[in-house]
Amino acid sequence: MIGLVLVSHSAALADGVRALIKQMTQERVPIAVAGGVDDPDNPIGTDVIKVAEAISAVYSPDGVIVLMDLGSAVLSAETALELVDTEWLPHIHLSAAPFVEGALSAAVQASVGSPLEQVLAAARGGLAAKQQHLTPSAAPTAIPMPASVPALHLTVPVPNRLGLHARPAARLVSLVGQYAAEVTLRKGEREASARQINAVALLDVRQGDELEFTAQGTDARAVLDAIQQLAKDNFGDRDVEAPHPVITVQAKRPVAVLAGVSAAPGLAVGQIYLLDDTRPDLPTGRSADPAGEQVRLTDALSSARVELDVLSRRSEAGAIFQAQSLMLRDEDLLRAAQDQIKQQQCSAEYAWWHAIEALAARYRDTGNAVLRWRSADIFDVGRRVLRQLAPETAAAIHVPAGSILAAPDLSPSEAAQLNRDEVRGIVTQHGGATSHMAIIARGLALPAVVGLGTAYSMLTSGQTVIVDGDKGWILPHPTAEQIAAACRTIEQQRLEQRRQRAVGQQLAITPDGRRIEVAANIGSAADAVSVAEAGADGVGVFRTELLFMSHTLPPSEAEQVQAYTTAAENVHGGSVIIRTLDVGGDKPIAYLKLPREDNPFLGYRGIRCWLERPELAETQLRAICRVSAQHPLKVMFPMVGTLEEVQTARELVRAVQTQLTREAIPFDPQMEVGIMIEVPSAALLADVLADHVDFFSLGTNDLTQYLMAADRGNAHVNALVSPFQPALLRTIQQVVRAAHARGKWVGVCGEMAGDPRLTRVLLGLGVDELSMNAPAIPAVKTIIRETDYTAAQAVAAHVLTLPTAAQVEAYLDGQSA
Amino acid sequence: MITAQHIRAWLERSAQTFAAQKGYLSDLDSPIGDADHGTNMARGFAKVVEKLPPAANNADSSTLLKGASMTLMATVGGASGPLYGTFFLRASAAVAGKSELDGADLHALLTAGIEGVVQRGRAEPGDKTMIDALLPAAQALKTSLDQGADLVAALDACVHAAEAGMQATIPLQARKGRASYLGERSIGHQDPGATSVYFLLAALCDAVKG
Repeated sequence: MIGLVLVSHSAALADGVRALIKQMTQERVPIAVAGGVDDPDNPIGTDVIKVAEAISAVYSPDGVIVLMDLGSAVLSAETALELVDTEWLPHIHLSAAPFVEGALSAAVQASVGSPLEQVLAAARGGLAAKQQHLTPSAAPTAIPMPASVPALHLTVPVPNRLGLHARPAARLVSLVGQYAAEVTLRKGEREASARQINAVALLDVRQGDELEFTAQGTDARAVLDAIQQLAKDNFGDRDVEAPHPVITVQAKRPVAVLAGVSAAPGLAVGQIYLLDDTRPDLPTGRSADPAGEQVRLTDALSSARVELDVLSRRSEAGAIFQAQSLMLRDEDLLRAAQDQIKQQQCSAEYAWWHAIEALAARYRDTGNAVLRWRSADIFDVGRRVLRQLAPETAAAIHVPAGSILAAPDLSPSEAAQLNRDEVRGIVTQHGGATSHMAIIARGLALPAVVGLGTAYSMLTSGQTVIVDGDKGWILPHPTAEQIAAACRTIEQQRLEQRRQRAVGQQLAITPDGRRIEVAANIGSAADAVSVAEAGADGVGVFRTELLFMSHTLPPSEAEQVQAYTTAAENVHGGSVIIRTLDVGGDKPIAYLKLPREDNPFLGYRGIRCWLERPELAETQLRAICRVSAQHPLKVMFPMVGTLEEVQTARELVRAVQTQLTREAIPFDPQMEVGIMIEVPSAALLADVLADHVDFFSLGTNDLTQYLMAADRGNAHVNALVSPFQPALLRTIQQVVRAAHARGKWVGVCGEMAGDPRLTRVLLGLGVDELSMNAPAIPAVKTIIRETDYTAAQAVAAHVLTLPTAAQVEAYLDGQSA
Repeated sequence: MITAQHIRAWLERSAQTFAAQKGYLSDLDSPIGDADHGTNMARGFAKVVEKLPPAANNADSSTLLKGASMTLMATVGGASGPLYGTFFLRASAAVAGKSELDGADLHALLTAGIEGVVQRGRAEPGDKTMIDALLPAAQALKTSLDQGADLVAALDACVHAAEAGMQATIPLQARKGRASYLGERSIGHQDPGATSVYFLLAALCDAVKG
C-alpha cells in the first residue's frame, strides 16, 4: 500500500490533517506525521529526524508520498532523504501539492488501490475542485467554444536576462497546457503556438522583446492573466545564472573549476570530445512497411516520455528532463519524422534522427548562445528515442584517442563499450555517483566526473581539460604548468600501479609451497580488464545481475555468450566462475515481474527464483556451456539451501548439455559446477552437498548476516555482522574439512577475502581460493608469499580457540602489526 | 593540527556564542524573518553540547560532527536545521577516518559543508544567505594556506572574510527564504544566516587557538 507522510511546522496541523484523512478513508492508508519540534516553549518548526522516521514507518516499495507545508518543511523533507536507505529513494516522492487538499486527494486515491502515478496526479490536482467552485474559468476543463468567440490580446515585454530559453519556455508551455484556449505568441513577423515547446524556443525571444499573445476560447481571459503573472514573475527565472555551485571562485569571475560529482577516481588530461552531435550508425534501409514504422516511432516516443517523466520526478535536474519531455510532445517534430517515413519509405530510426538533426540545426543557427546549448538537449532526447527503437545502434561509441568523453548522460551499455585506448576520462551533465555508469567507469579505471549541470554547456570539442575524478571537478582552461603537474601526478600513479601490478602478477605461493588462487569479483565483462591488470589469477565471481539489469528484456543467448567470452578473454586464460542470476524482490528487473516482498532478504531470490524460470535458466546455462568449449569457465549457483536444489540445478545443466550435444554445439562436459555457501543450512550440509558439486564458494557477506540474524544495513545490529565472529570462522573450518575430505575445493568470495588482516587465518583454515575486489589483490598476494602455510595453520588453530569476535580481532591486529 | 578535542571545543564555544548572541540574532531576524533565528540556533547548539559523547569515549572529529548534524536537524526547527544539519553531515563525511586535520583537511571540511548547503538551499552568491559568508571564508582559508600561512593565521583570514561577507549582505536584496517575501524591503538589513556563519567560524578559530 502507498504510504503518506505529512510534514508540518505544526504538530496540531499535521495531526488534524491525519484525523481528517482517517475519517474519509476508514484508516486504509498508512499515514505518518512529522509535525513541530520537541521543545515545549517553541513547538513550531520542523525536525529532519522525525521526517526520516515517519518515512521509515510507512515505507514499502509501493511508494511513499511526502506532503509538506512550506519553507523549512520542504528543506527538512529533502534532507531526510539523505538519512534513509538509498535503495528506497526511487520509491519516495516529495509532492509539491497543497498540504491539506493534496493529502486528502492522495489518500482517497491511494485507498482505492490506484497506482502511484495516479495518486501523485491526484495530489497535484488537489486544488482543482476548489478552484472550479470559486473561479470556474480557471479550471482546466475543456469546453468547446463557439467560433464566434472573439480573440483576446496581451502584449508583454520579456524581463528575464536570458529571454525565453528552454526552462522559461517550458514553464509557459506547461502553463498554457492547463487551459483550453488556443494561444499563439508573436514576435515581430513570426508567430508560434504557445503549446509547442520547440516553436516557442525557436522564436529566439530575448530580454526586452515585446511579445504579443493572442488567446481564443472560453478561458482566454484566464490564460492571458496567468501569462501576465508569469511574465511579471520573470518567467520563473532567477537572474543570477551561476550555473552550478562553484566553490572555489566568486560569482561572475572567469570560472576556474567546473564542479560536479566524483564518480570514478583518478586524474586525466585530454581533449574534450562532445558526444552530443555524433551521428549514430543508423540503418538507412528502406522499409516496406511505412505504417508499421510510424507505429514503432509513436511507441518509442511514448516510452521515452515515460522515462523522462520518471527522471524529472527523481532527479535534481528535473526541470531539464521536463523540458525534454515537452520536446517529445512537440507535434511539429513528430510530424516531420512521420512525413518522411511515409514519403521516403524509410526506417523509423532514420527519419527520427533526420528530424532531430534538422531541429538541432535550427537551434544552432539562431545565433543565441543559450539556444545553441539547447541543441545538446535535442540530441539527448533524440538518442533516448533511438535507444528505444534500436538499442544496439545508439550504443556504439568511437572517439579519437586521448579524448575526454563528454555527454549529457551515458547509459550503462554505452559506458561498458568504451575503449580505454580511446577514452581517458568521462564527464557528464547528468547522473550521480551511484549510477551504473559510475560503477562501470570505476571498473574500467576511467576517471569520471558526473552531474556537471549547466556548467556542462561551457565545454567545447577539442578543448584541453584536466579531469579530477577524486575531487569531482574539471579544470576547463588549465595552464601549461597545471597540465605538466597533472601529467607528473598521472605518471607517478602509473608507476605506483605498475609496482603494485608487478607484485600482483606473481603467483600467490607460500614459502613452504602451498598455492592459493587469488581471483577477483567482477560485475561486467569490462571489469575483467582492470582485474587482470591488478594481478587476478582469474575471476572468482562474475555477478551477472548487471548484465540482466541494463536491458529492458533478458539478454539473449548470443549477448550472454559475448559477455562471458569477453570476460574470459580479458583475464588471459584464467578461469572464470559465472554465478547464475541472483535476484529477488529487492532488485528492480522489471521484465521478471517479481512479487514485492516484505522481507526479500529471506524471500524468493537466487536459485529459488531462477530455477522456476526455465526459459531464463536454460538460456543462461546454454550460454555458459557454449563458452566453456573455448574457455575455462565454471558455473556456480547462489542461495542454495537444500540438496534438492543442487540436484535440480545439476539436472538442468545435464539437460542443457544433452540438448547441445543433439544440436552438435561444442561444450566442455568436464566444466566444474559449484554452489555458493551463504545459507547456514548449506554450510551444515556441506558433507552431503560436497558429493554433488565440484566446489564451494563461501559468500561470507550474506553467510555472516544469516548466521548472526543481523542485517548490515541496520545500524542497531550491524556491529554483529563482523568477519571476526567465531561462529563464522568455525563454519568456514567445517565447510573446508567436509569439502577436502571429498576431494573438493573451497573458495571465499565475500569482503573478508580481500581483508589483509584475515588472509593468514583463511590460508590456515585451508581455503583454496580467495576472490576479492581487484585493488586488494597485491596486498593479499604479498601476505601469502610471505607466510608459511604451517605458520598460518597455527594462527588459525589459535583463533579457533578464541570465544569472541573482539578477541579474534584484537589477536589478528596484534599479528599483523 | 586540529584534533577531536578542538572540534569538541568548537561545538562548545559555538553553543556559548549562540546563547550569548541569541537576542542579537533574533533582532536581526525580526525585520526580515520570523525573529527566531537566535532562539533556534541557541536551542540547537545547547542540545548539541548536551548530547556530546563523554570525552572518555575518544570519539573522532567525524563522529562529533555527525552527532552535531543529527542533533541540529532534530532541534533547530527552522530552515537553519536542515541547512546547518547538512553542513555538518557533509563536513563529517569529508573528514571521516582522520584523527588530525591539517589546513587542507579543514578546507575540505568547509567545502563539503558548503556544497551541502548550496545543494540543500539552492542559493547562489548574492542571494543574501549563509552562502555569502561561507564562500569568501573558504576562499580566504585556501588563499592563505596556499601562500604558506600557518593554520591559525589562515583561520584568522577565514573569519575576517566571513565577517566581510556578512557585512556585504546588508545592501543585498534577499532572494531565498522568508526574507525574499519582502523583496526590496530586505535591502539594508544584515542577513542573520550569514551572521550565524560568522559566529560559527569565529568559534572555530577561538577553539583552535585554545
